[in-house]
Amino acid sequence: MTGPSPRQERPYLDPYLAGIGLGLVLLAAFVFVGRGLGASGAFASVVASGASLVAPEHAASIPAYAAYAPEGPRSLFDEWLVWEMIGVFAGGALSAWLAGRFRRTIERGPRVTDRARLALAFGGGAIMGVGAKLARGCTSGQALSGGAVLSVGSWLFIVGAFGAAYLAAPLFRREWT
Amino acid sequence: MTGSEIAIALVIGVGFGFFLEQGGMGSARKLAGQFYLTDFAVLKVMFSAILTAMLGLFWLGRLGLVDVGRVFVPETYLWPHLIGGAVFGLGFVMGGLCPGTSCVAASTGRLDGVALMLGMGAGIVVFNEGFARVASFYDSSPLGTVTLGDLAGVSPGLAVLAVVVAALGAFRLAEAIERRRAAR
Amino acid sequence: MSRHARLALAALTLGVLAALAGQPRPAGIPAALVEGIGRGEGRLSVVELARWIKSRRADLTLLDLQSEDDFGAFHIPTAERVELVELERRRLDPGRTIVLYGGAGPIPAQAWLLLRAKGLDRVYYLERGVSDWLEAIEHPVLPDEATEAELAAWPEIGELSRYFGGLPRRGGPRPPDGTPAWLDDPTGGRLAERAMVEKARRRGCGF
Repeated sequence: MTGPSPRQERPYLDPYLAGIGLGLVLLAAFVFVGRGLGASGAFASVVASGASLVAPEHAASIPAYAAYAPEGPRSLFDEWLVWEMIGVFAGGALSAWLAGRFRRTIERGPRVTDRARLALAFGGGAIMGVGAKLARGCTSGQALSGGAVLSVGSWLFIVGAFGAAYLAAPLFRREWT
Repeated sequence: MTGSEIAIALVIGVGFGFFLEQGGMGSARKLAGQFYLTDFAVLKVMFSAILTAMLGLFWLGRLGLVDVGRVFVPETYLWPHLIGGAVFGLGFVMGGLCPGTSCVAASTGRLDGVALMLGMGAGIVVFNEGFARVASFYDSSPLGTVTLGDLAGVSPGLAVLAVVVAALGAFRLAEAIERRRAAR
Repeated sequence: MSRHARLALAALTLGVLAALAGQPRPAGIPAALVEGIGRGEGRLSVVELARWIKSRRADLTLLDLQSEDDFGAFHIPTAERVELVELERRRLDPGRTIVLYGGAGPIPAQAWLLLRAKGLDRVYYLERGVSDWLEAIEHPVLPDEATEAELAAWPEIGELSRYFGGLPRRGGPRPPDGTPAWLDDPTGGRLAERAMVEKARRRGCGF
C-alpha cells in the first residue's frame, strides 16, 4: 500500500461536528436552491447519458434514457446533481489533502482478499443502485435531505436501510472483521 | 443551468464532500463498523446533520427568513421506500459505502470506492432494463407529500421535537455501547 | 459541561421551542398577504371554476363551507363539504389547487385567509358562492340588448351551462347591478392563477 504512513494522518473530526458541518451545507442547499443534497440521481443521469451515447436505438426505447438522447432535451451538465457530485469529489479530496489522508488502498478486513473485496464492493453497489432507484434516492437524497424535512417516505427508507443492514451484517462479517 | 447555479452546486458539493471526509465517511471500514457496533460515526454524522438542517430550516422559516413551502419535500411511496431502503441497506453493508461516500472514497484513493461506483452504474442499468417488470410496484402505495407531523396529526414543531429526542436518545445509546466496548 | 452536552442541550432547547411555536412560519399574517387582499387576490370567477371542473382538472380540491342542510339543498358538482374549524386542523396537499365557496357571507373569504396564512399558495374562493353559480351556470340569462362583450362570451356560457345540466336562456332582464354573473371578471380566475404560477414552488430535480 502506498501513501503516507498512518502516523502522518490526522485523526478524523469529531463526528458530531462533521455532522453539524454537513447539516449546515444541507441547510444552505435548502435555502439557496430550494432542494436538498443527493448522489444516486447523478449516477442515474450518467448512466442514462452513457446509454444514449453508446446504444442510441436501444436507449430510445427505455423511458429513463429517452430524455438523454443526443438531440434530446437533457444533457448531463444541465443536472444540478452532476455539478454537485463534481464538487463532492473535489471536497473529499481537499479534506483528505489537508489531513494527509490520501491513500491508494483497498479498504477491507484482514480475512478477505483485495479481489474479493472489490467484487463485494461492485456487488453491493449494484444492489444499492436498484434500491436507490426504487426509493427515488439514497442516504444523501432520502435519508439526509428527506429526513431533515420530515418526509415519511424518507424515514421509511432510513428504517428499511438500517434495519436490513443490521440484519444482513452477519453475512458479511468475514469482509470486515 | 446558469453560471451562478453551477457555482452554487459546486460549492455545496465541495462542502458536502469535505465534511463527509472529515467525519471519516469516505472509509468503508469505518462505515461498516456501524453495523458491527464497533464504530458509530455513521449514526452520529447522519443524525447530527439531520438535526442541524431540520432545526435550521424550522427556525429560519419561523423567523420569516425562508419560505419553507418552497423547499422540496420528496413524495412518499410507502412500499417502494421501505423495500427500496431495505435493498439499499443490504447493498450498503455489503459494499461498505453509499453513493455519495463512494465518490469521497474514490477521490481519496480508495479503489473499493471506484468498484462500488461502477457497481452502482451496473445496478441502475439492470433496474432500467427490467423496469417493466417492477413498474407497478415502483408506482404503488403513493401517499403524496406527507410529513411525520401530518401522519401523526401533530404540528411540524412537535414532530421536530420528537426527532430531536429520538436522535439524542440514539446518541446516548451509541455512547453507552462504545463505553462498554472500551471497558472490556 | 462538555461540548457535546452543550450541543445536545442546544438541540433539545430548539426542539422544545419548535414544538411550542408549532409552525415553521412567522406568527400572524404576513404583510404581503394583507397587501394581496387589497388587490383582490384569491377571488375566482364562477365561470373559471366551471371551466376547471369541466376539464376534470386533476389537482382541483373544491370545498363547500355551507351548512349540512344548505349543502344538501344545492352544492356545486364535485364539491366536498367541510366546516371552517376543520380547515385549521386538516392537512391539505400544498401541490393541489384549492377552491373554497359557501353561501352568502364572509366565510369563504375567511377560509381563504386562513389557508393562505398557513402557507398554502394555490387557494381561491368564490366571492358570492352558490348564488353566483346558480345565476351564471344553472340559469344564465343573455339580457335583451346585450353588449358586444356579452354576445361574444355567451356561446361558451351556454356550453358550460348545458354541461352542468343548466338551462341557459336568451332574452331577459338585466340583473340589478347591470352585469350578468357569467361575464368573466378579468380580476378573477386566469389572471390570479397566472400570478400564482409565476410564484410557483421550485421543485428539486431528484430522479
